[in-house]
Amino acid sequence: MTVENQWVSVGGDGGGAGDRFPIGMRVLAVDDDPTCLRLLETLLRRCQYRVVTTNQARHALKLLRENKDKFDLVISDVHMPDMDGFKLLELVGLEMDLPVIMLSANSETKTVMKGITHGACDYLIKPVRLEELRNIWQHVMRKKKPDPRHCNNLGQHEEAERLQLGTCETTQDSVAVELADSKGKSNKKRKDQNEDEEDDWEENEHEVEDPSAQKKPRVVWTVELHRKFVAAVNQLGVDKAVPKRILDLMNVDKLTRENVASHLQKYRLYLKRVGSMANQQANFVAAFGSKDASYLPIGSLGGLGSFHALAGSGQLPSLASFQAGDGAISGLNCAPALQFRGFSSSEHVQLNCAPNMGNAINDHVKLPCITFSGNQNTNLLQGMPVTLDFDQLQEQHKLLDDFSAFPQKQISGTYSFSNNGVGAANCKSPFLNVAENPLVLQANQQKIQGRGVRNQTSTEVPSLKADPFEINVGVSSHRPDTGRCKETWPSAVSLTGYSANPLPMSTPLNQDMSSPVNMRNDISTMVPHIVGHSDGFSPPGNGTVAPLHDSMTERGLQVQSSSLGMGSQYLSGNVNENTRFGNIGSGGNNAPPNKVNSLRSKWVDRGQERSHKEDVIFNPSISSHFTHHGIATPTSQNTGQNNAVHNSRIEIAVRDQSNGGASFVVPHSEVQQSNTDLLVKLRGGYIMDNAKPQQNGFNPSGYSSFDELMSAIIKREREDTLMDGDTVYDVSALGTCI
Amino acid sequence: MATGGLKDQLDGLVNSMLREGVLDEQFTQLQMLQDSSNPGFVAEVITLFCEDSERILAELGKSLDQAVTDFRRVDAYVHQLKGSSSSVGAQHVKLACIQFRHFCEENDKDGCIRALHVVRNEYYNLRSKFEIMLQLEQRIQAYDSKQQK
Repeated sequence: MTVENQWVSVGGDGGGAGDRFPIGMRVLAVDDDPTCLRLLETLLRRCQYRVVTTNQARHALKLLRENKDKFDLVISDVHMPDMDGFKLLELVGLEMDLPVIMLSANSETKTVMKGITHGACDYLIKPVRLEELRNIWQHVMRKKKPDPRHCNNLGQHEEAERLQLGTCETTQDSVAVELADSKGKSNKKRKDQNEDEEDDWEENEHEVEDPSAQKKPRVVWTVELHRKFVAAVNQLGVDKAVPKRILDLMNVDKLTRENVASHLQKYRLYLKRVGSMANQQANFVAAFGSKDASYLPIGSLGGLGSFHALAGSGQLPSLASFQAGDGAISGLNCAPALQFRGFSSSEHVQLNCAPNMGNAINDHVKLPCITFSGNQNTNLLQGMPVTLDFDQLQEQHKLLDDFSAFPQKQISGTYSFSNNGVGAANCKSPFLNVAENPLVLQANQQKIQGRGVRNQTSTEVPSLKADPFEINVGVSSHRPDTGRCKETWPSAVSLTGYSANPLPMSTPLNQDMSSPVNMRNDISTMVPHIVGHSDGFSPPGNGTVAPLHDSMTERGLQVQSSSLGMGSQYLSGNVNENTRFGNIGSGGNNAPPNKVNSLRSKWVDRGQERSHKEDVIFNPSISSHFTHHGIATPTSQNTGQNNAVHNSRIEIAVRDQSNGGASFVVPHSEVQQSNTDLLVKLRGGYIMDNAKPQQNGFNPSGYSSFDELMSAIIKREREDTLMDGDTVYDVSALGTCI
Repeated sequence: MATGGLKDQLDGLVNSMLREGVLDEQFTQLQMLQDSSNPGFVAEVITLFCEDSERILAELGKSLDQAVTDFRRVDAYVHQLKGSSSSVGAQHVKLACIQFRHFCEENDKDGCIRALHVVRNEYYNLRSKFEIMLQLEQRIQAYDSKQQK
């Protein structure tokens, strides 16, 4: 094919190849605006590309799916009524692995950035100019990276990226396999399109690739298939997943290890890309100083989530990238692992997250991260301000609705703490596993570990959206009074049954009890996770917890306990359809020693819908003594933290009122349901449409004791871009730092 | 020779529009794309633009008429109009759209209504000139094709 020949002949000369232009490159142009589309088409034809146009994203997707390997490049408008351009971009990236160029009249940095994070290879601003389009062939070339013999500058770039990725791998084998596979695949692809060129590559192909693979049809990574893939990866642990095992777990006919391997690689790249973005943002935040540190842009969180996923539990291979990005960030480690189960069945969901974060960056900031991948049907966040959304599929728009049916739920929560002031680089992840089976109450385990970090009470709740699949996670961190928790727990939640955990709840509780005084300063953050795994799920985080202990104890301990309100809602299995999640509220509070901490759980029976809402109220203590800590870092003051997580549908507003011994409640409520009594109200069903950030109600009254107390900050970030099914994150952190 | 006269008229019109800023150099890009292989390209794009713009203006009017304004929706329309107007080089319309979007961001309904008014005026001003342009184009083409026969 002439195109191929020219590409090869162009060699390393990335630019200025105007006269040797790849004629006949097959471009699919998508834009709902007829004027722009017509112009674009004409421009592309002028470049002597072969052009197919459509004004509907869905139609474009259909064309691409039906004509595999019939297009080299996609140019898509960002704003389209039937499907957001970013969604299209994402799907194309996952299914076809074609380079996609985004096109928009909107040149806002945020939007452009979003294009990048979603994998766009370029972002053009309308009106598009001929000169720009003359150059776009390079993206095609880059994507079809030739083998090393033909390696040009562009190719090397990608190679370098891959090598970098490789270093992240814990397993040498998997790296080797992937490299080989990807090479094989790219050769295969080339061959498909490039019969004439075959001999040029032939030798290489034989070396690398199993010949049989060439005959296999290309796999389309449908949403469903991808979900299985993600489930398998998460089950194995992102860093430990190897194609073979993933394949076994996926158990899909006609899928080859090679298919999985290449997809895995793409997936990892995606995670990495998103992760690095998040890091940058995190740094940015960090730069702002402690006060603002509590506030993390959603976007960054999203990145973190993915980052975590990438890192896998307990291991932080990917940190390197972090550090590379910004020195400040270097301290940050996150290693969450995600696991999902049973996609098809709504029943089981597994998530593991073990975030570790050492923040060199901010003393203040902690980022618990949770990543979820979920099922359409199953989203559970209980007792947690955490909300998950998997929208990618667009299948779920409402978490709440989906929430309803979980026969069995297990929640494992992970806490991440960072001691900044202390300089402890360790992050602890206390873990909670809560299994709720109202009906069954079978062997469920709750593991609660509370860790308190002494001076620092900054908690942050990031909501993460990490996955290509758009997962939203909202995490709220609470400071629960452990003593309270202990008492109340049984009553509040029928989730008793602690199974032996490395860190039994009792320990933290005891500590608290013993030193109630100190509690104020401590904040424990909780990041709950939901584990859908019916089997018991062991959280990676457990092992890590230990180190914190010492510091805590030495310090006279501060608060350890994080209590999770597990809003237990139960929806009996039968009821699923009807049930909506009424409220799930969990509040972590800090209660001043003097103050009474009450943990209350409320159940609201919603009557017909068998949804229960449970609110747990903790009295948070905010100590007026923060100054004591006087740690240079404005750490401890932290007051309750609230996280709001947004799903496109769900919003959780957390209001922290600390009136001496104020109670902090974070309920999730169903849409339009208002929670009574709760200081905090969460509304679900909040629609992202509100461009304006919402503020969570925050009552500063409790803070009176802190003169300098800055008002709590609640911020929400939203992504303005409205992708279908796009998840929105809200992170609201109330950090009050002095 | 008749053609020459018509072309001069056309050029004069375009130049005056460029001077006024009604059009910008993007329009000249459009003209450059018109060649023997697609002789009616400029006319086609202009027609598409006008049809689509009128649809959008109508939608905007409707949206802003409602008691509760969906600013995001309004913004989406304005954004699209901005994209298409910039593509044809309709600079004044584009600038008016940019203003319009600011009001959208602020959820300023009155501002939006005023902005819509401005956009509409700019558009109709442009359209009247485009109409003259299209007539000239048609006559030129008709003459050319007659010559060829």
